[in-house]
Amino acid sequence: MVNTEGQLYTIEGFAAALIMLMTAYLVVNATSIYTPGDTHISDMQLEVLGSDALAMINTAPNGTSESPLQTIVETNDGAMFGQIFNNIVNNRTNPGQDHIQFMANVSYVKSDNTVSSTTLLNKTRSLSGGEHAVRVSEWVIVEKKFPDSDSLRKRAVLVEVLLWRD
Amino acid sequence: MSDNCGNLSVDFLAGFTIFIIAFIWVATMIPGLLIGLQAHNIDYDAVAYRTGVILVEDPGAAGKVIPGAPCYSGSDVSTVSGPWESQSDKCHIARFGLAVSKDTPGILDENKVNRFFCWTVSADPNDREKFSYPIDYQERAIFGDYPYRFNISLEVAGEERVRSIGDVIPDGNYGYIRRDVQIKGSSNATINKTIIQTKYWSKENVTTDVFTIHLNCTKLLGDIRHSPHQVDYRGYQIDPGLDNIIINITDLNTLHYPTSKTTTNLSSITINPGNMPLGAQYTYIDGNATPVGTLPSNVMSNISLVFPAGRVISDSMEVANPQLYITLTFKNTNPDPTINGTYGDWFLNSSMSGPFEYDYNMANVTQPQLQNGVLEVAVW
Repeated sequence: MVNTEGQLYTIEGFAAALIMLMTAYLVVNATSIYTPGDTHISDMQLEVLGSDALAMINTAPNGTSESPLQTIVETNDGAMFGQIFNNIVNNRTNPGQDHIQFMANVSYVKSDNTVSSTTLLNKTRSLSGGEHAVRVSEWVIVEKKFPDSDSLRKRAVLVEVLLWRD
Repeated sequence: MSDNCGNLSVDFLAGFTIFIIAFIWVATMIPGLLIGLQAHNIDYDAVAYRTGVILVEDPGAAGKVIPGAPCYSGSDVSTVSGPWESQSDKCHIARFGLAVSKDTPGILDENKVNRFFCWTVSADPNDREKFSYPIDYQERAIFGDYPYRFNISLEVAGEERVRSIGDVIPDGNYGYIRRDVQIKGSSNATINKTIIQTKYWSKENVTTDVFTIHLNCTKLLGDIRHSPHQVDYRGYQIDPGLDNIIINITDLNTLHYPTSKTTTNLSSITINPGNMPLGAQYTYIDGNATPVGTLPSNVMSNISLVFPAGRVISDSMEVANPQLYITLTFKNTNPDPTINGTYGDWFLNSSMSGPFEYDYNMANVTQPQLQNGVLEVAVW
């Protein structure tokens, strides 16, 4: 004689097993966000470094001179920016340099009150699209006339730098 | 006749077996899952970041470390005043921090840096000044219940050696942060022959010469918009209570007239108000690397006054007496009496011209400069 009374226990066993496996899967996924080496940590490190470097360049070495960043923007000296920024951001206490690449542009308000952007430094290495790049910025007061801005006067411009690791 | 009692137990056995196998498999995974939950293991980067922020963006604080912490006998924790780097007893330091102020993140104070990197591995109970690795740093910079090991290093442009605290960084898993910083140096004044002969050369034959240096703390601390660019920034401030004050007086041997003496007698150095004698341990004569020790003393050409931050001029002194005068008294008692029949000669003297101003005038005082550097923190 055949009946279906026994089948119920087997289904419950399968259900319990599946629940346990799903719980384990969820737990594994939930804890993985704390795993060291996640990209957000290296992003944070890059952002801190970039912010520090920009702030340093925007600080004059003494109370009587302009900051290097002011001079760079006023003279549009991208090569000088590349050299100074590279020395700061890739410097380490141990022998050897880091391998951080970067590009920079300057945003300003035009005479028609719209915002325009100009390249200060082209990218030091081509972006492949897979990099975890971060953007840092610093406001600078400069005395300059941009080609499409109004007269020569002091104005606030935003220097933005995009950084990524090789 | 048959019944189905036996069939039930076999199916139950199959379901129960599947349940137990899955249960055992998941149970064996649990220890592996918990490894990732060990707090000290996963937050190395967070601790390194926090330590970097404390060191680079915070000026630190004096005060007792923690209730019940071991203090050396005689330490009076109720009388803590001044910044942490000027505490001669490390028991009075609550938190490290290298920034000049909270308003200047990334600008480090050279005195804080020098004190921070003054350390030793072995704890000497009689040494109140040097810090012991790792315990003193764990309590004041790293924090946390877990006894993290760490390495903190600082490289300053122009310095050959890299300053470092801690163990060798392991090859394996550790947290890391790097901060780009600037280190604020000290101001200093060099009073040379040109300056002296222009303003501070007494053209009278006297046997006692007095030369005074004025530190106007009200102006030094209040008016820091001194530059042509109106820079208002503590990174360039001269603060006699927090900074080293260095004064070099040179070419003294060329000042004697009409005699041809080559030495003079430095009788005393005092600070006013109060006419308080300044310790001769801060006075260096004629290029000697060790302080003169006692006064009076003979001087040929150079005097260097090096007042370490907080040791001679304190924060409280700045508040109580914002006008500080440092007075040097010289005795020229043995000139050649045959010359013009006089018993004195011309020498360094500010009685007529008024004191030498130690201020933001670049013609008189070399202003504090910022040096680039990089600070790295590794924690494991």
